[in-house]
Amino acid sequence: MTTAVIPHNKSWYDEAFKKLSAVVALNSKTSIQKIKEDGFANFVKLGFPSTKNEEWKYTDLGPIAKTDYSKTTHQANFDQEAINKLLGVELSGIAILVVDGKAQIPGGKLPAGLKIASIMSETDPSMVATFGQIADSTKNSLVALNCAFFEDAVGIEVEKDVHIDQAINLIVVNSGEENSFRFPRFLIKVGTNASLVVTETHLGATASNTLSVSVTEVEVAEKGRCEHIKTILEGDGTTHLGHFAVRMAESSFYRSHCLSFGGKTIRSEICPTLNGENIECHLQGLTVIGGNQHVDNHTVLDHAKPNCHSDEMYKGIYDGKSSGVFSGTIIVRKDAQKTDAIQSNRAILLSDTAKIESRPCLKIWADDVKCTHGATVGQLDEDSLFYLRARGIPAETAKKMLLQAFVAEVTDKLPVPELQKAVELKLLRSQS
Amino acid sequence: MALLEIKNLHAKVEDKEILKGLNLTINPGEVHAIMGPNGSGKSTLANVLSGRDGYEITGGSVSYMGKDLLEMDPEERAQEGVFLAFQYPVELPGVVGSYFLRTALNAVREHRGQPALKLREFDELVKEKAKLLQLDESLLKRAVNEGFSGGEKKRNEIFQMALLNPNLCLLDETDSGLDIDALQIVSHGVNTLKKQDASKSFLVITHYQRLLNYIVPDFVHVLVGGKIVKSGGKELALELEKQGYAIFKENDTRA
Repeated sequence: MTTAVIPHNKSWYDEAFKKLSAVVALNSKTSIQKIKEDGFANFVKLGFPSTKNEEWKYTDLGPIAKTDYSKTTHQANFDQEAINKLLGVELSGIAILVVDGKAQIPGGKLPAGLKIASIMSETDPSMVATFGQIADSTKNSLVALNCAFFEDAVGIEVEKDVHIDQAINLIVVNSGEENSFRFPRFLIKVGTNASLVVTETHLGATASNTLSVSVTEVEVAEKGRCEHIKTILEGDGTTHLGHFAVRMAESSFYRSHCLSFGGKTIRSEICPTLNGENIECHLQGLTVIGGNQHVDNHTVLDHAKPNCHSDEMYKGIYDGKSSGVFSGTIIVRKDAQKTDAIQSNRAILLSDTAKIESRPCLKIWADDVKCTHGATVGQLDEDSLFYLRARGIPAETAKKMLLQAFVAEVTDKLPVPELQKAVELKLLRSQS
Repeated sequence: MALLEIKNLHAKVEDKEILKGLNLTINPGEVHAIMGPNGSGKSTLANVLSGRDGYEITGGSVSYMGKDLLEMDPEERAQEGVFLAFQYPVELPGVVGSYFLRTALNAVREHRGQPALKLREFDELVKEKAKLLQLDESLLKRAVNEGFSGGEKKRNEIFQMALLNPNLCLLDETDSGLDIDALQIVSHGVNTLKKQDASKSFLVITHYQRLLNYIVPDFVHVLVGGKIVKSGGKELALELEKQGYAIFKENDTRA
């Protein structure tokens, strides 16, 4: 692995880490303190990856490395109404508000078998035992940075055989103070034969230059089911760098939906390890951007055991001078015979200046597997557009119908109807 | 007033002149057939009349109900009552048939100053027209034309025509790819529409005479080299079937 890094103000990060460690103020060498110290040491070693690093070839963190971000100084106020306005819809379910990296744990009574807690207090042994064990800070700069600097961590756990029929909604907002950073951190644990739907909605209201480095660890136990939806609607000046580390056990099901709409520079890493047989893992992505926005979707699917199925579908609509990256790595280890993996990446470019890089990467060590991948890039189909117009449908409406049809393959599978609506609204707005 | 009046129409595709002075007048209630060999400009004429991009009009005029047709966007032509049944209907994955039809119908109705149809009224209309074309209504729950057979696609075109109720129907090689049963169903649909509204006009573009056994034209025109070289009654089609287009080739000015 290449070690190319961007030089940054190390002493500044040193200072910032000391300050934050003081805030987190832990009296002894607790496991959280250990995670933070290791994270910081690893970040100092790894630094920010440069574009010379193959995995970061198309996303330049230079401007991030050179900015001295700091914690926000004022307490931001958000109410449900402000959030609904940003998102365009109201999510139903159990809401957990996370403002500038600090979580507000809901006080009301939760359904039986569901736990939501701050991990910082280390009161829940089950959560503490898993926390920091799935996302590896020794190899990944983003994970290391998040580990060093997170101020709060929210754990959501559903116990064995419990099915939670309402969505748990993590609403991650920020005050938008210039040059502020935040490090949202989450843990999702789905017990044996349990099921859970978690949405992560990252919202921003201002155009100021801010940084969010977000890490979510997910553990799905045997026969567990987890739907995990991330919606990125950050402010126009925000860099959002996110990492999902997912560990799956035998016969489990996990599906992520990564919806990228708002933000200046977005990188979403999704890294599931299929660590048992008969696992089903789906990664879905939808990107709708324009202007100078940049979205880098980076997935690493690790098939470690035999007889598993993974299905990856990323779609994007790019307008203006926006740019997209899709790099999808599928690893099939020697043991993982009878792996069935499908990957597809489709993009529509609405302007001559928008661009997309699509990089599938298959690393296969087993000999009896089925792996397919395909990528298409194109404009909105002229013949289809003409067909609709020839039936009296105005050009603008026709365009929207075709874009809706394009995204339907992804949105049809969204388990939260309000988010389907939010995508629809986003499409309508982007075209007007 | 003529419904459609094409005068000395010249059109180019990628610098190649395809239509070279075409004249044609269609009055309300008339059925015209245009026949011609491959490359004579038949499909270009259909595309120019429906407003497809990529055709440059270099001369002449097209007047539709007294208005300049060539100035209109494709959707405006459709809303004004010009309908093109495509030679190759487009598959639209992800666009559900009934949603597409309702959007189209209501756009057309809005232009004509009619209120949007309620869902129930729409359903009834669809039922009635689907029966006419012996079209399986379940097809409308699927994406438009996706995975349809050749015959289903063409029937779907005429079904859309019945629903949108145009004044001028352009049938571009509607018979291509149809077996005899499908041909009869499609023709029956067209003839019923004509019977229901005697003022509807048709321009049937075809390579073969076969379709004209079922949709009987009032006038037949022979298009060769971008011009109409001969016009006559329905018997002209039979004559062409016997003699072929060869006798007209001397008029073809193409290189």
